[in-house]
Amino acid sequence: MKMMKNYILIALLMIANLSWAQNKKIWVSGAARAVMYGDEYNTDAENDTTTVRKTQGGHALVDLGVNIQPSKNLLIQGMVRIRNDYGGFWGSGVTFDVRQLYIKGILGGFLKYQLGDINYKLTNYTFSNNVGLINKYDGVITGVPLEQIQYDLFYTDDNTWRQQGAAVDFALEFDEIINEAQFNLFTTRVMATDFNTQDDRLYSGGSVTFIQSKKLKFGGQFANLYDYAGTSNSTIYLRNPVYTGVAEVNHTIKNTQLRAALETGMSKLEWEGSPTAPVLEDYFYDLNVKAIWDKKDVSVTAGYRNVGPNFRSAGAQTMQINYQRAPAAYQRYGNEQNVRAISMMDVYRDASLYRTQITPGLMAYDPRYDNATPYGRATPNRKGLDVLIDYEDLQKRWKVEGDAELLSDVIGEGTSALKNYTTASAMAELRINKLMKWKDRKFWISGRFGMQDTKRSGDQSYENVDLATRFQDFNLTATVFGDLDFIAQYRFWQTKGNELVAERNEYSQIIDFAEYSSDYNESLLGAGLQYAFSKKTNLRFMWQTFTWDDTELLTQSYNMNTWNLYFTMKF
Amino acid sequence: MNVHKSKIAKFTLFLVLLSFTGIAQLADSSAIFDWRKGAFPKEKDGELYQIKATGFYRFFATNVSMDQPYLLDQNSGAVTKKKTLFIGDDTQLPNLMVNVSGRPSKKVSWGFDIFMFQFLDGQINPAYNPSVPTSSRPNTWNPLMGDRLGGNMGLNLGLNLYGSYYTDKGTFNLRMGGIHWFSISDLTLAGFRGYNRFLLNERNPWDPIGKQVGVRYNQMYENGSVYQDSRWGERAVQGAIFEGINLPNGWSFATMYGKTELNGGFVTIPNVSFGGKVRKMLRGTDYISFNTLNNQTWVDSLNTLPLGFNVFTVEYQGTFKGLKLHAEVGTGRYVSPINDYPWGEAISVKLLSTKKLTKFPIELHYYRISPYVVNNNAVFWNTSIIESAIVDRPGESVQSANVLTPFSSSMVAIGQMTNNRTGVNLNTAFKVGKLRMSVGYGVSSEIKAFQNKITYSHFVNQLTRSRFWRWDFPTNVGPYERYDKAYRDAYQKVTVTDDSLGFAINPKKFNQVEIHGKYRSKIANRKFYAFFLGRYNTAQPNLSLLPAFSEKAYIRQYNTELELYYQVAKPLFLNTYLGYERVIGNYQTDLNLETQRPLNQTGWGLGAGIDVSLGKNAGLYVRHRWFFFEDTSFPLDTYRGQETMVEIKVFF
Repeated sequence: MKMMKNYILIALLMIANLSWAQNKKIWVSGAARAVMYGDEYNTDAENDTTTVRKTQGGHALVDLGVNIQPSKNLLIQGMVRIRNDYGGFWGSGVTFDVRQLYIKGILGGFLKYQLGDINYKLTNYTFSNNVGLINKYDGVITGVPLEQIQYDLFYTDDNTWRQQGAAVDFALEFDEIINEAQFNLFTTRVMATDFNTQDDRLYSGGSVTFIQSKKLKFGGQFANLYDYAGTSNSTIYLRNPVYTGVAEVNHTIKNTQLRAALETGMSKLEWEGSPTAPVLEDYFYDLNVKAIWDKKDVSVTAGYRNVGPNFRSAGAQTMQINYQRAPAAYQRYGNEQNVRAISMMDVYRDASLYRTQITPGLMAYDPRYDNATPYGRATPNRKGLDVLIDYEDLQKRWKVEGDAELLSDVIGEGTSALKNYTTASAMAELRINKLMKWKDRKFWISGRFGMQDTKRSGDQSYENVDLATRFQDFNLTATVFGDLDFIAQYRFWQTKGNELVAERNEYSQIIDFAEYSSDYNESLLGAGLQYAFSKKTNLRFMWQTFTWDDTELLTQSYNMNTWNLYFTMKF
Repeated sequence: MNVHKSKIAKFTLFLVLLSFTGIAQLADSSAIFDWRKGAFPKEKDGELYQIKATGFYRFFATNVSMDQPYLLDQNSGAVTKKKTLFIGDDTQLPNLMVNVSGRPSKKVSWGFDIFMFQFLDGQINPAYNPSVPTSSRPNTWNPLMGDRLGGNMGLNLGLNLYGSYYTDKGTFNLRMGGIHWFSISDLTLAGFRGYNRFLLNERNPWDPIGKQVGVRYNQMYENGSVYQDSRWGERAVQGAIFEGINLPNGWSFATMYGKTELNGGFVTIPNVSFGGKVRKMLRGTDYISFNTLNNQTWVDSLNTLPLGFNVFTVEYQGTFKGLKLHAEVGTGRYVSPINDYPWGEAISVKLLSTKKLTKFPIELHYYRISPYVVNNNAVFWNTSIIESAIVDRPGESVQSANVLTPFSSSMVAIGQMTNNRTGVNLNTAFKVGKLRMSVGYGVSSEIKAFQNKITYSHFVNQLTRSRFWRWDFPTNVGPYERYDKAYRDAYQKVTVTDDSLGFAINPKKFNQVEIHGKYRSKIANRKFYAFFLGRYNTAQPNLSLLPAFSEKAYIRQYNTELELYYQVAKPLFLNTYLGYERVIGNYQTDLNLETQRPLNQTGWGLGAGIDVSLGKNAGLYVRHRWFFFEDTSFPLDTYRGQETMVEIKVFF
């Protein structure tokens, strides 16, 4: 009888294990969303009898990622995107496509590999997806469509770039001298050969990180964008290796953490086999110190960096926004049907403006949205100081933040005079619900003022540059009841002055300067309601009015009223 | 470091990025640099709370034999072939439909259906459709351009997202995407339900089959209707629908903003339908409701020339002293950039006597829809304002042609209303022994003489005839160019000639009689069902209490159909069908130039078939039909032939 009981118990356990295994072998993850929007275009230009005044659109889509785990150490995910555009009935307007596919697993119990679609990053100077100034600061209204763009383009909070290739990560743990050594290796293909003049372009590299103790970490990175010679008829091969070393130490004195970090390295950009192409070589260093007072929740970071004018790192300098594109909505407007300039409203909602693959060299940028560091921290020809201060109330009732960068050219561009770049912003956030001790109710107000000045003076008039950008951002989130919040945002952006913008050849060398003049501002005022079905599922209805006002009349001023309905799910 | 000295066994190899086990390289928020490198994310992907798939497989094939060709298109000279073998259903309904739904949490869900067509046309390739070159494919930002993947695949009912919010004050539901099946009221947004007077011999793709064959026949007999799928009486809507139910004091509401099947399409100039209802429940099932549906678009890009319609109604349902009243009264208008149309009235009042008052239910239905109330989304067709008919079907609204409605003065089924018409319907249902009867009678009149055309459908061989023109919905086809193809129908247009220089002067009057008889018995201890359906309609210039069965009627249409079902064995039903149709026109309608005579049409349909159960929720249906039609006055409009239909349907 006892034996029988044991058999039953074993059988039950086996069934339980089996059912658990069945459940976990295949599961589905992904996202879904339904979006509707309407634009209303207005202009004071009396003679605009051409531009459509109202447009509407929308879509619903679901990304179904089927995760298959054939064994404990192996996972395959294939994700299908099914999209149905607003207005399509009975099958019209439907698209199917593969969104991502990868296999990953653990080899030999210690080596993790991934093959297929990969999100990858190393450091700020080797391989990192840097966010531009225009998108740097979250907004409760502007962040909603932007979040969908980021999701669509695989931009993550970890600043990774989506790559297609293979990656290997593993680590060794030691008893002596160092605690741990972490290794990350990757190779991806960023462009396929055309079998004629363009080779397969690969991107490979990796990092090694030594964790000596909690107090010291150091390591090295290598990233190389290169043409895979022989895969086409081309005899010129791009090479862009970047080597960096990085270290960080920290030491705690009572309640104060002190940290110091350094990243330094060099790059080379060449077109092997080309008799006319230059070889660009340069170096950089970026030294930072940081102090954290835990008891006060205050931190101050200060740094000094010098990035050489010929420092080229494709993985770090590729910009998210392709400013040579035109916005999808109202692409041409006015009686003349001129191409509409990219506005911040487009930046927040138009995914077609963004880039998904790293690009060698230096791309064109728009001085309005960041003239000082268009290529992120790795922007070449910059040296100077930066400071970041964070101070948060221990009860989380308020928070203040300040950041500043005082940079200048390393060498003059077209002149021996150097440009000075000053970028600064200050933010304060007040959590009134915490102040008033309201439970289960949000009431947050935040505001940010920012500026960026570019100045240069010289003996010659052409040397004089004076470009000023000012921006403001105010956000409000207040609980109406339950999980329903009222949200509102005002964002203002203004650029005024003149600049000489470098024009570069295919080798990213300056060949000329274009006169740039601007006196414009744009503002966005929005309000809406958001309901959180869960942490990952939100419904938002928003109205915005956007104004583009060009005092110099280089572009036609206009106003755009927009309503949006976003129902988003992640699972 | 000397690895050997430290003894290799002492160092352990471990994973840095253990997404499987949930151990991740954690970000040190106080560090200056982000020391996390390599492949991301470091965490395991989320997991869907629930996912499920339902749907059906449907094999459908028809083989038509016609000895003599029938002229399909006078312009091109196209005629029917001697034999036509067609695998698949040409009315946009697929072989396989899989409804997939997922529930990320208890409050929200999404769903979509994937369909697959299969025509068994011998095109053996690695895939049903050729590969789409990358250069031809739409880009991510504009998925509507170019060639898309999966030509034999698609979504039929689209992609839907649902959210629910439960409170102690009520439940709020949101639906986005679409297609969603949605209705507001008969005069604003609803599909025609009629009085369930139809036959079961024809196989509709959406018909449920029940757990075993024969269930539907029994339901038809028992309930006077059969179980219909969720779209029955509803309209296809895309966009956003927000509903509040179980609100305090019996209140509820529903709003919609988006597109109905009539104003779909991808033109970015807004063409939007919006409306909703606010309802207050009174006592039991009694309620009062305010309903509205509106459509707005512009014919110019500057949005200065609006086009659309508005309908506002108040609806009341109440029961008192054995009478059940359902009344909907409102007003509507058509907004046109060309003409300034006035507001018009829309009234539909139904008074139903319950068993408390009479032994069997009697429903009196009075309706009056002004010619200026235009809304093809409701249970009335537009027959008066022709510019609306054009705008409802803009060229780029690719799908709108699928649901064409006849324009002009239509002879319609009882319950189906049209604008520019007022009338009374009387409906009842009673039993005589094993015989269950449902009878309807209608008298109606146009309010104004707008059109000099009458349209009507041929009920006998209706689907067979509609299959002569596959896929498209051409107009002015057939001999004498007097047919328009609609969804699963081809209706006929007849010109009335008692006009004044082409302008109608006589508002037309209509009479309808519908008799639906259902009989169930057993023969040799096996189930036997007989369903009879007679539809007798006339259109004439004068109001007549009884149908004008004389030359006074412009058109007299008599349709008589009978179908029998006999259960030979538990999984096998035999069935037969007999249909007879007569349509007679008078001399105030189109005359043939040769014969100088008006319509004189006769149609026959004779069929037999079997239903075979293939297991639970699976069945095989075979139908064979001999069909015949002739118009002795219009000798080219004649055809005869045979059609065999095979259907295998499996629900899962």
